[in-house]
Amino acid sequence: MRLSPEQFWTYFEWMFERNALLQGFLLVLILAVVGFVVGFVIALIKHGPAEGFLQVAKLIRELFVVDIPKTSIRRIGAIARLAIKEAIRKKVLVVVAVFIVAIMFAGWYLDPQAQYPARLYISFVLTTTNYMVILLGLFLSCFSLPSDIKSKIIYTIVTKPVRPTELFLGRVIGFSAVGTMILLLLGAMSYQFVVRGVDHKHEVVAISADGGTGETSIQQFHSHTFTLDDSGEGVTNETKGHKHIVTKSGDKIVVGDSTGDLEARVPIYGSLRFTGRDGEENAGLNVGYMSEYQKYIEGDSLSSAIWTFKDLRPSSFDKELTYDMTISAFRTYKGDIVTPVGGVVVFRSMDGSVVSERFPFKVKEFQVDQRSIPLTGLKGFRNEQPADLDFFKDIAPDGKFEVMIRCQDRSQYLGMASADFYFRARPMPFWWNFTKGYISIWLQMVIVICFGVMFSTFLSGPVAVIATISIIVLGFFGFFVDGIVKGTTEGGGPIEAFIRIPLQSGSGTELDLGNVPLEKSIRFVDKAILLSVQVLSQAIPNFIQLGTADFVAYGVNLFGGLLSRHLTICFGYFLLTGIISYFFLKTREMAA
Amino acid sequence: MNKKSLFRKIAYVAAIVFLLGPLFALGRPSNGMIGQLRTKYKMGQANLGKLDPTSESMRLATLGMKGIASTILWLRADYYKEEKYFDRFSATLKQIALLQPHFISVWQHQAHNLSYNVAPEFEDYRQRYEWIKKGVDYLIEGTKYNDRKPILQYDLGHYLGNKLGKADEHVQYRSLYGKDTEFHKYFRDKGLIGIETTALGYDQKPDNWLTGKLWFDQAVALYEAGAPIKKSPHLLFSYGPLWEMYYAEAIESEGILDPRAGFAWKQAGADWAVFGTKSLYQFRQKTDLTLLSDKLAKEKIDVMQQEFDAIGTEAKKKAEDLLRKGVPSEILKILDKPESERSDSEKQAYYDTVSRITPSLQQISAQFPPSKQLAAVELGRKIVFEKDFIRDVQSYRSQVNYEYWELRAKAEQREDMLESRRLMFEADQQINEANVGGALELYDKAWQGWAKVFNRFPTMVTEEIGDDVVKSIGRYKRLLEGDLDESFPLYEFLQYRIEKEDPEKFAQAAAKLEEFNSRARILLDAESRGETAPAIKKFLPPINPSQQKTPVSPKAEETSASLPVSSEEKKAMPGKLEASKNVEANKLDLPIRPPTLENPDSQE
Repeated sequence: MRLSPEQFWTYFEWMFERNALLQGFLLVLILAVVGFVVGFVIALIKHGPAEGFLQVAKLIRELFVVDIPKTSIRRIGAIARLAIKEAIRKKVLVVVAVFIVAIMFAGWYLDPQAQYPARLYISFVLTTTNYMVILLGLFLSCFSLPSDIKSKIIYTIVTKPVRPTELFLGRVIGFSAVGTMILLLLGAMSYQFVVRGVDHKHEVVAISADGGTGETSIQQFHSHTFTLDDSGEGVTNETKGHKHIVTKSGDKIVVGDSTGDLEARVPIYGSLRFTGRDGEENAGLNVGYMSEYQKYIEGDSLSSAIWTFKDLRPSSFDKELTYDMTISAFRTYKGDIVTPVGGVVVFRSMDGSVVSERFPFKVKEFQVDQRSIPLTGLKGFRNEQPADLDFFKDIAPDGKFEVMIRCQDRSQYLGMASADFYFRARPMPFWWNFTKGYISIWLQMVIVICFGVMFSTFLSGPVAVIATISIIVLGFFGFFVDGIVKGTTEGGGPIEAFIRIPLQSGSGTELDLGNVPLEKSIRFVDKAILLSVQVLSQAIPNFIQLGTADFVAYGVNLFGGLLSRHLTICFGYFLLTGIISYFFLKTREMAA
Repeated sequence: MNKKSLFRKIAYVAAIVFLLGPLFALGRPSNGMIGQLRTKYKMGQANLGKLDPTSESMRLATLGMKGIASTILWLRADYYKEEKYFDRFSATLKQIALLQPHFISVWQHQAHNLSYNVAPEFEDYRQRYEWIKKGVDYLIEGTKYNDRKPILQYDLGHYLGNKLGKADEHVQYRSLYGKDTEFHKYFRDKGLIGIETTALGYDQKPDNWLTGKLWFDQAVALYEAGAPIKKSPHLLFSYGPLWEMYYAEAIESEGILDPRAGFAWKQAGADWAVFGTKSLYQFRQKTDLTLLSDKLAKEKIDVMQQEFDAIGTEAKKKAEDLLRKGVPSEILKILDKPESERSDSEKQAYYDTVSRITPSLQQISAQFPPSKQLAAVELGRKIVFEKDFIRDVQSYRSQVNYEYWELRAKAEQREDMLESRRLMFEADQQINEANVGGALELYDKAWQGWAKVFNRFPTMVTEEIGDDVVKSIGRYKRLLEGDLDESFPLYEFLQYRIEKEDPEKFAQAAAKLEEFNSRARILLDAESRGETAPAIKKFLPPINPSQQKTPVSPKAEETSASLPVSSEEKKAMPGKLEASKNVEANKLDLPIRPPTLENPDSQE
């Protein structure tokens, strides 16, 4: 799983240190000014400058003085109830049926022989649910108000003392409630699908003469080997992302349920820096991969990767300090094929006066290498003198310390990113992480509903659908627009691409029409279009960033800070769309 | 108004019916034009491969936007590969294949991606093996959708053989494959008949080379049933028996040096001989040939040439005289000079002139009396045709290295060859166990055996076997701590190897090989007359007792002898060889590779 450093930020860090609050405030200010200017220009055309200004000012005043304070929860509830009834009348439960069908035939598309089946199943259910619920929110929210206006049902509402704020809130809450109910159903089914999908039992099929090692039967395209200790307890090797506990009771050896595939590790991350072969700091090496995610250190040199941890608390651990590594190896020569490239881990205090002994390891690529060290009685050096260390007293007295990794093999390299080394605090239950994944989906659904309701306040149903789909598409593919504007994605803008298709011109080549001024004009217009789309895409929600399926699939606890940020973003869009909807509802002639 | 509306509706219905008529005629399933074209070009779904509801439903679900969907999936797959999300990469490939099940390049390209590009990304060879299997699995899935595309079976043959059997990790891969009962079962379930019978190796476990051969056999069977393949038939046919040879080679390298290896070579040789009799179509001359048909053609040419010469002695003389007239007299004088008196430039001029004044069959035919000219031209044309035919056969033979493998299979079956190999293998092992005396003793015995083998099959000196022997001689020499003199049984062969690697002595080496070959022919004649033992003895140098020196431990400084040292040895002892100042020895360190037929599409 790839984690970027901004995903580790705490809520406080994001809000204040990384200026999210300031950016939000600026966005509100810009939108307020733009909104006021646009509103004033329209009013100016309709009523003249003085009257126009007065109208706009009156509208703003009414929002803050009348409509917000006097918004009634009872009336919101009534409109929400209507929205729920309307949704049920429109047979939204069909979504559930479609989902059941998708799950029933999932086996057609999912590979049960995958290396990590649990990841595949979790990704499948979360992605499918995400798309379905977004589509549900889209169609529920976009058609409701326009169809009320078209069928003149709106007369029965607006003739009653219902405020525009209540109309917006009622619909958003009503549709969100319907979506939530469906999401709960889908969530429960998905959970069952995943749990039952990975559930399996092995029998023991072979055991060594001394009874110390054995092999299990093949189930779900895999088998395990296991080792038993003197007390008759043991564990299998890791295959398909899980292990089994093996116990011997009497003459019988029992292979227990799988562990490790449905989990929610609680990682504690540090910040990473590198040193080169001369021991001086550098940015880490690139060994030639396109991806810059991991950087590499050279073997048998002073080149090292150093993580700084700032807040590790004893309360997060029991007797041992458990840590996970997902380090990669890059070989410049094949060398010993059987033995993986090795490295060492060293724990040291911030000032370097206390250093643990070296913990050697062999790389386990593309799997989590789980390790632990004792918290007390740790061998090491204090001021270069051998000593028995207490981790939290000697190395990390205030929770701050460093971890250094070096590669042992000459001319071989180890690769790592910030998230490739972390301490594992007590895990959270999988079901709770799964639920948090669904909360993320719920937030995306609410955002879509807010936009759908907003567009439906001034557009007809089909147009509102197209507008909301545009928001969703830009939310998912904003990075593509960014790439074209920055030139990292080839092929040019919309006009250039449209010309290239009939010409069958490859995107990697320069556009050649034999007319330089024409080509320049096309690029200029494309640039203008793309810049406007880029600006728009930055103002709308980034659904890729809001997606958290990877956390659940890869068994990493979804950070509270990250979920809180998503909640805040969702609330921001709720406010934004609410205010825009208010002004449109307020100024629109419902009976027209 | 209502009437108007009614007429309009009737017009619409009439137009629809009118347009549906031709559509129906064109698209009738049994005898419509589209159906007929589909049948003619075998484009129907049922002709292409099995109908799969998953694939069909997925394509339907894209609502005609299959192209866009597959493009997005390709981009995503590339991204996943770049960012090393290999599980997702593999899952996306399955989706792409479902959208484009009859697009052969997808199966080939992505299977290669899985087995050759993703697999090496893993540090653990067991994981690498699993990803190679994924590529194999992907190709097998492809065969399900494409009944008549033998290129997939052809690739499978290569993956099983080359990827598992020739990679640096081949020892580990071959061992893993032998134990992989699930994979064998999977092959059997997918219709690979013989996986648990004919593909069994010496240890009664399926062997990767022999399994690869089964896939090639399937490809050949499909090709012979009329399914096209963009490969030359002689190359396609060669891989099955060649894989058997590689199997035999592999088990020998694993220490199986007894009748089991001999049997493997025997089997491979027999299949290679059958391959030689396979009928191949030659496109240039639009004729059928086999790799053995050059002998018959040579006989034909001899008969015709004799006939031509008998009737055309005078015409040949005339043609030669005519050509001589065009050559300056001072150059013609060179022809009369004894060879020893010719300078270097005259030697070159001699060869050029001889070629200039030698008339072609057409030129001779032109000098025949008019009454015989037509018959002479016709005879000349037939001779030229047969010569071209032989050239084509020889070209095919050289492309598959037919002669080498034919000889190799014969040589490897011999007991003296197996014994020599066994002695050399055991001697190498004795070195690992630090038993220098034992190693020398075994080596001495082995050299006697190798001398017999090389006398009988000199070509073997030039190829991989020679390379193996040279490596072992290097080890032997270091144990002896001295140079080898003429009493060494393989001395002349070693000299040949040294000269062969020296560009300046290339002609000398070629002459030496020719000499070896003529001796081998004498031996063959002697063998056929039942005089095997004395004839061989004649060419064997006597064993020099002084050569049996006291064994001593090898020293690093002794590695700079004038012996070719293999690249593997060089890797094993970088320090020693780097210290060597002997440029000559380093020159000889060029790797000598056996002739192999690698799949150009499957390079790692």
